[in-house]
Amino acid sequence: MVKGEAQLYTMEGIAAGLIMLLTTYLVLGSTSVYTPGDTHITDMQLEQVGSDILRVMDTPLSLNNSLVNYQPNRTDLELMVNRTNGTAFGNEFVNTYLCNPNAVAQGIAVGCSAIQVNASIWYVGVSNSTESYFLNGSYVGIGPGVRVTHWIHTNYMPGPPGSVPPDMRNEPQEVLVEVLMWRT
Amino acid sequence: MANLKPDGQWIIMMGFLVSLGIFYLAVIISQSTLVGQTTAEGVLEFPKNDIQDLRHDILKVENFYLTQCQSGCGNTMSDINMEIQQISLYRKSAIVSYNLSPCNNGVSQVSIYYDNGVTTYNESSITVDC
Repeated sequence: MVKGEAQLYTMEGIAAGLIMLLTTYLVLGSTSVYTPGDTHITDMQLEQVGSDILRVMDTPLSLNNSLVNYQPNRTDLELMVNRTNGTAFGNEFVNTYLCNPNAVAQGIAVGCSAIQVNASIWYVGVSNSTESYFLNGSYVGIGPGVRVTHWIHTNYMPGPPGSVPPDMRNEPQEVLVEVLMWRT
Repeated sequence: MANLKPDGQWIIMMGFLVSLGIFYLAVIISQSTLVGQTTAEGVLEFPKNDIQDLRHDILKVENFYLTQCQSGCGNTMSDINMEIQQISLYRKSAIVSYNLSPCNNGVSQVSIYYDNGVTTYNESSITVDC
Protein backbone atom coordinates (compact mmCIF):
# COMPACT_ATOMS: atom_id res chain seq x y z
CA MET A 1 0.00 0.00 0.00
CA VAL A 2 1.69 3.20 -1.16
CA LYS A 3 0.53 6.40 0.39
CA GLY A 4 0.87 9.70 -1.45
CA GLU A 5 1.36 11.91 1.63
CA ALA A 6 5.09 12.40 1.45
CA GLN A 7 5.51 12.82 -2.28
CA LEU A 8 6.05 16.56 -2.07
CA TYR A 9 8.80 16.08 0.47
CA THR A 10 10.49 13.60 -1.80
CA MET A 11 10.39 16.05 -4.69
CA GLU A 12 11.77 18.79 -2.49
CA GLY A 13 14.53 16.54 -1.33
CA ILE A 14 15.49 15.69 -4.91
CA ALA A 15 15.43 19.35 -5.97
CA ALA A 16 17.56 20.39 -2.98
CA GLY A 17 19.97 17.59 -3.69
CA LEU A 18 20.30 18.72 -7.30
CA ILE A 19 20.96 22.31 -6.26
CA MET A 20 23.61 21.20 -3.77
CA LEU A 21 25.27 18.99 -6.35
CA LEU A 22 25.28 21.82 -8.89
CA THR A 23 26.80 24.20 -6.36
CA THR A 24 29.54 21.78 -5.39
CA TYR A 25 30.25 21.10 -9.04
CA LEU A 26 30.63 24.80 -9.82
CA VAL A 27 32.75 25.56 -6.77
CA LEU A 28 35.08 22.61 -7.19
CA GLY A 29 35.28 23.02 -10.94
CA SER A 30 36.21 26.68 -10.89
CA THR A 31 39.87 27.45 -11.46
CA SER A 32 41.60 28.31 -8.26
CA VAL A 33 44.89 30.05 -9.00
CA TYR A 34 47.51 30.30 -6.34
CA THR A 35 50.02 33.09 -6.85
CA PRO A 36 53.31 33.07 -5.02
CA GLY A 37 52.28 36.34 -3.46
CA ASP A 38 55.12 36.79 -0.99
CA THR A 39 57.98 36.58 -3.44
CA HIS A 40 56.23 38.92 -5.84
CA ILE A 41 55.68 41.52 -3.19
CA THR A 42 59.26 41.55 -1.92
CA ASP A 43 60.53 41.57 -5.50
CA MET A 44 58.46 44.64 -6.17
CA GLN A 45 59.89 46.21 -3.03
CA LEU A 46 63.42 45.48 -4.12
CA GLU A 47 62.74 46.85 -7.58
CA GLN A 48 61.26 50.02 -6.17
CA VAL A 49 64.16 50.54 -3.79
CA GLY A 50 66.71 50.01 -6.55
CA SER A 51 64.88 52.29 -8.88
CA ASP A 52 64.64 54.97 -6.22
CA ILE A 53 68.33 54.73 -5.43
CA LEU A 54 69.26 55.19 -9.08
CA ARG A 55 66.99 58.21 -9.26
CA VAL A 56 68.50 59.74 -6.15
CA MET A 57 71.98 59.17 -7.55
CA ASP A 58 70.87 60.97 -10.70
CA THR A 59 70.18 64.27 -9.02
CA PRO A 60 72.53 67.21 -9.61
CA LEU A 61 75.59 67.47 -7.42
CA SER A 62 76.09 69.77 -4.52
CA LEU A 63 78.89 72.31 -4.57
CA ASN A 64 81.23 70.46 -2.25
CA ASN A 65 81.00 67.01 -3.77
CA SER A 66 84.28 65.19 -3.35
CA LEU A 67 83.98 63.15 -6.53
CA VAL A 68 84.91 65.89 -8.90
CA ASN A 69 85.25 69.62 -9.18
CA TYR A 70 81.99 71.41 -9.33
CA GLN A 71 80.19 70.61 -12.56
CA PRO A 72 76.86 72.28 -13.00
CA ASN A 73 73.97 70.06 -14.05
CA ARG A 74 75.95 66.89 -13.64
CA THR A 75 74.95 64.14 -11.30
CA ASP A 76 76.87 61.52 -9.38
CA LEU A 77 75.54 58.82 -11.62
CA GLU A 78 76.43 60.69 -14.77
CA LEU A 79 79.97 61.30 -13.58
CA MET A 80 80.45 57.67 -12.62
CA VAL A 81 79.16 56.55 -15.98
CA ASN A 82 81.28 59.06 -17.81
CA ARG A 83 84.41 57.81 -16.11
CA THR A 84 83.14 54.24 -15.74
CA ASN A 85 83.99 54.48 -12.07
CA GLY A 86 82.56 51.15 -10.96
CA THR A 87 84.08 51.28 -7.51
CA ALA A 88 82.47 54.60 -6.70
CA PHE A 89 79.20 53.34 -8.11
CA GLY A 90 79.25 50.25 -5.91
CA ASN A 91 80.17 52.28 -2.86
CA GLU A 92 77.42 54.79 -3.35
CA PHE A 93 74.71 52.36 -4.42
CA VAL A 94 75.33 49.79 -1.71
CA ASN A 95 76.95 51.62 1.19
CA THR A 96 75.48 55.09 0.96
CA TYR A 97 71.94 54.16 0.03
CA LEU A 98 71.04 50.48 0.16
CA CYS A 99 72.78 49.78 3.47
CA ASN A 100 72.35 53.18 5.04
CA PRO A 101 71.10 52.53 8.59
CA ASN A 102 68.95 55.64 8.38
CA ALA A 103 67.41 54.73 5.05
CA VAL A 104 64.15 53.00 4.42
CA ALA A 105 65.94 50.43 2.27
CA GLN A 106 66.77 48.69 5.53
CA GLY A 107 63.14 47.76 5.69
CA ILE A 108 63.58 45.12 3.01
CA ALA A 109 62.91 41.83 4.71
CA VAL A 110 66.38 40.31 4.77
CA GLY A 111 68.55 43.36 5.26
CA CYS A 112 71.03 44.75 2.83
CA SER A 113 73.95 42.44 3.47
CA ALA A 114 72.11 39.61 1.76
CA ILE A 115 71.50 41.59 -1.41
CA GLN A 116 73.89 41.28 -4.30
CA VAL A 117 74.23 43.88 -7.00
CA ASN A 118 75.56 43.69 -10.53
CA ALA A 119 75.67 46.87 -12.58
CA SER A 120 76.51 47.60 -16.18
CA ILE A 121 75.89 50.37 -18.65
CA TRP A 122 74.54 50.12 -22.19
CA TYR A 123 75.10 52.67 -24.92
CA VAL A 124 75.26 53.03 -28.66
CA GLY A 125 78.92 52.81 -29.60
CA VAL A 126 80.96 54.29 -32.46
CA SER A 127 79.93 51.50 -34.79
CA ASN A 128 76.23 52.19 -34.07
CA SER A 129 75.78 48.89 -32.28
CA THR A 130 74.61 48.49 -28.71
CA GLU A 131 77.58 48.07 -26.43
CA SER A 132 77.88 47.31 -22.74
CA TYR A 133 80.41 48.02 -20.08
CA PHE A 134 80.57 46.22 -16.75
CA LEU A 135 80.54 48.64 -13.85
CA ASN A 136 80.53 46.72 -10.62
CA GLY A 137 79.09 43.66 -8.97
CA SER A 138 79.22 40.03 -8.09
CA TYR A 139 77.97 36.78 -9.53
CA VAL A 140 77.09 34.75 -6.45
CA GLY A 141 73.70 33.87 -5.07
CA ILE A 142 70.64 31.83 -5.80
CA GLY A 143 67.69 34.13 -5.16
CA PRO A 144 65.37 35.43 -7.84
CA GLY A 145 66.59 38.72 -9.21
CA VAL A 146 65.04 41.95 -10.30
CA ARG A 147 66.39 44.33 -12.90
CA VAL A 148 66.25 48.05 -12.36
CA THR A 149 67.26 50.49 -15.05
CA HIS A 150 67.77 54.18 -15.37
CA TRP A 151 68.23 56.35 -18.42
CA ILE A 152 70.93 58.96 -18.34
CA HIS A 153 71.45 61.70 -20.80
CA THR A 154 75.10 62.46 -20.59
CA ASN A 155 77.40 64.86 -22.30
CA TYR A 156 80.45 62.73 -22.95
CA MET A 157 83.34 63.99 -20.87
CA PRO A 158 86.70 62.33 -21.26
CA GLY A 159 88.29 61.37 -17.98
CA PRO A 160 91.77 60.00 -17.33
CA PRO A 161 93.09 57.81 -20.17
CA GLY A 162 91.66 54.34 -20.21
CA SER A 163 88.78 55.24 -17.94
CA VAL A 164 86.13 55.52 -20.64
CA PRO A 165 85.04 52.64 -22.84
CA PRO A 166 87.01 53.15 -26.06
CA ASP A 167 83.96 52.65 -28.25
CA MET A 168 81.91 55.38 -26.60
CA ARG A 169 81.07 58.31 -28.86
CA ASN A 170 82.33 61.76 -28.06
CA GLU A 171 79.02 63.63 -28.01
CA PRO A 172 75.85 63.98 -25.93
CA GLN A 173 74.13 60.63 -25.80
CA GLU A 174 71.82 58.28 -23.98
CA VAL A 175 73.17 55.69 -21.59
CA LEU A 176 71.14 53.00 -19.87
CA VAL A 177 72.34 52.04 -16.41
CA GLU A 178 71.19 48.54 -15.62
CA VAL A 179 71.42 47.03 -12.15
CA LEU A 180 70.54 43.46 -11.28
CA MET A 181 69.63 42.94 -7.65
CA TRP A 182 69.08 39.62 -5.95
CA ARG A 183 69.37 37.86 -2.62
CA THR A 184 72.08 35.42 -1.80
CA MET B 1 -1.00 13.54 -4.17
CA ALA B 2 -4.50 13.17 -2.89
CA ASN B 3 -3.89 13.80 0.76
CA LEU B 4 -1.59 16.83 0.46
CA LYS B 5 -1.98 19.53 3.05
CA PRO B 6 -0.94 23.06 2.11
CA ASP B 7 0.29 23.96 5.61
CA GLY B 8 3.99 23.40 5.00
CA GLN B 9 4.36 25.16 1.68
CA TRP B 10 6.13 28.20 3.06
CA ILE B 11 8.77 25.95 4.62
CA ILE B 12 9.45 24.48 1.19
CA MET B 13 9.57 27.93 -0.38
CA MET B 14 12.03 29.23 2.22
CA GLY B 15 14.12 26.14 1.63
CA PHE B 16 14.36 26.95 -2.04
CA LEU B 17 15.14 30.60 -1.38
CA VAL B 18 17.92 29.81 1.08
CA SER B 19 19.46 27.24 -1.22
CA LEU B 20 19.38 29.72 -4.12
CA GLY B 21 21.10 32.27 -1.88
CA ILE B 22 23.82 29.81 -0.97
CA PHE B 23 24.23 28.94 -4.63
CA TYR B 24 24.61 32.60 -5.55
CA LEU B 25 27.22 33.18 -2.82
CA ALA B 26 29.16 30.13 -3.96
CA VAL B 27 29.34 31.49 -7.50
CA ILE B 28 30.68 34.80 -6.18
CA ILE B 29 33.32 33.03 -4.11
CA SER B 30 34.43 30.94 -7.04
CA GLN B 31 34.87 34.08 -9.16
CA SER B 32 36.79 36.05 -6.54
CA THR B 33 40.07 34.18 -6.94
CA LEU B 34 40.10 34.79 -10.64
CA VAL B 35 39.29 38.47 -10.25
CA GLY B 36 42.02 38.91 -7.64
CA GLN B 37 44.49 37.14 -9.88
CA THR B 38 43.86 39.32 -12.91
CA THR B 39 43.95 42.50 -10.85
CA ALA B 40 47.23 41.56 -9.19
CA GLU B 41 48.73 40.62 -12.55
CA GLY B 42 47.67 43.95 -13.98
CA VAL B 43 49.51 45.76 -11.23
CA LEU B 44 52.59 43.56 -11.41
CA GLU B 45 52.94 43.70 -15.15
CA PHE B 46 52.57 47.42 -15.59
CA PRO B 47 56.11 48.77 -16.15
CA LYS B 48 55.64 51.77 -13.92
CA ASN B 49 59.30 52.40 -13.21
CA ASP B 50 60.31 52.03 -16.84
CA ILE B 51 57.78 54.58 -18.00
CA GLN B 52 58.49 57.06 -15.22
CA ASP B 53 62.18 56.81 -15.90
CA LEU B 54 61.76 57.27 -19.63
CA ARG B 55 59.55 60.28 -19.08
CA HIS B 56 61.99 61.82 -16.63
CA ASP B 57 64.85 61.41 -19.05
CA ILE B 58 63.01 62.67 -22.11
CA LEU B 59 62.02 65.84 -20.31
CA LYS B 60 65.63 66.28 -19.25
CA VAL B 61 66.88 65.75 -22.79
CA GLU B 62 64.37 68.20 -24.09
CA ASN B 63 65.49 70.80 -21.58
CA PHE B 64 69.12 70.20 -22.46
CA TYR B 65 68.58 70.65 -26.17
CA LEU B 66 66.31 73.63 -25.90
CA THR B 67 68.35 75.60 -23.39
CA GLN B 68 72.02 74.59 -23.56
CA CYS B 69 72.37 73.14 -26.99
CA GLN B 70 70.53 75.41 -29.38
CA SER B 71 73.44 75.71 -31.77
CA GLY B 72 73.95 71.96 -31.94
CA CYS B 73 76.06 69.60 -29.87
CA GLY B 74 77.07 67.09 -32.52
CA ASN B 75 74.05 64.95 -31.81
CA THR B 76 70.48 65.99 -32.46
CA MET B 77 67.30 65.11 -30.65
CA SER B 78 66.29 62.69 -33.36
CA ASP B 79 69.60 60.90 -32.83
CA ILE B 80 68.77 60.67 -29.14
CA ASN B 81 65.37 59.29 -30.06
CA MET B 82 67.04 56.62 -32.19
CA GLU B 83 69.41 55.75 -29.36
CA ILE B 84 66.58 55.36 -26.89
CA GLN B 85 64.72 53.17 -29.39
CA GLN B 86 67.75 51.02 -30.08
CA ILE B 87 68.75 50.43 -26.46
CA SER B 88 65.12 49.87 -25.43
CA LEU B 89 64.67 47.21 -28.05
CA TYR B 90 67.96 45.59 -27.18
CA ARG B 91 67.72 45.58 -23.40
CA LYS B 92 64.07 45.97 -22.48
CA SER B 93 62.23 44.40 -25.41
CA ALA B 94 60.15 47.53 -25.62
CA ILE B 95 59.25 49.70 -28.54
CA VAL B 96 59.66 53.27 -27.51
CA SER B 97 59.45 56.53 -29.32
CA TYR B 98 58.82 60.10 -28.48
CA ASN B 99 58.04 63.23 -30.35
CA LEU B 100 58.58 66.81 -29.43
CA SER B 101 56.70 69.65 -31.00
CA PRO B 102 58.61 72.87 -31.70
CA CYS B 103 58.66 75.44 -28.96
CA ASN B 104 55.76 77.82 -29.30
CA ASN B 105 55.46 80.78 -26.91
CA GLY B 106 57.43 78.93 -24.27
CA VAL B 107 55.27 75.84 -24.48
CA SER B 108 56.01 72.58 -26.22
CA GLN B 109 54.26 69.26 -26.31
CA VAL B 110 55.96 65.93 -25.69
CA SER B 111 54.33 62.69 -26.72
CA ILE B 112 55.69 59.37 -25.52
CA TYR B 113 54.84 55.94 -26.84
CA TYR B 114 55.76 52.76 -25.00
CA ASP B 115 54.90 49.18 -25.90
CA ASN B 116 56.51 46.11 -24.38
CA GLY B 117 54.09 43.58 -25.80
CA VAL B 118 51.95 43.47 -22.68
CA THR B 119 51.42 47.12 -21.98
CA THR B 120 50.85 49.86 -24.50
CA TYR B 121 51.16 53.32 -23.12
CA ASN B 122 50.67 56.71 -24.69
CA GLU B 123 51.28 60.00 -23.05
CA SER B 124 51.15 63.61 -24.05
CA SER B 125 52.49 66.22 -21.72
CA ILE B 126 53.12 69.88 -22.05
CA THR B 127 56.30 71.48 -20.87
CA VAL B 128 56.60 75.16 -20.30
CA ASP B 129 60.29 75.68 -19.79
CA CYS B 130 61.49 75.79 -23.37
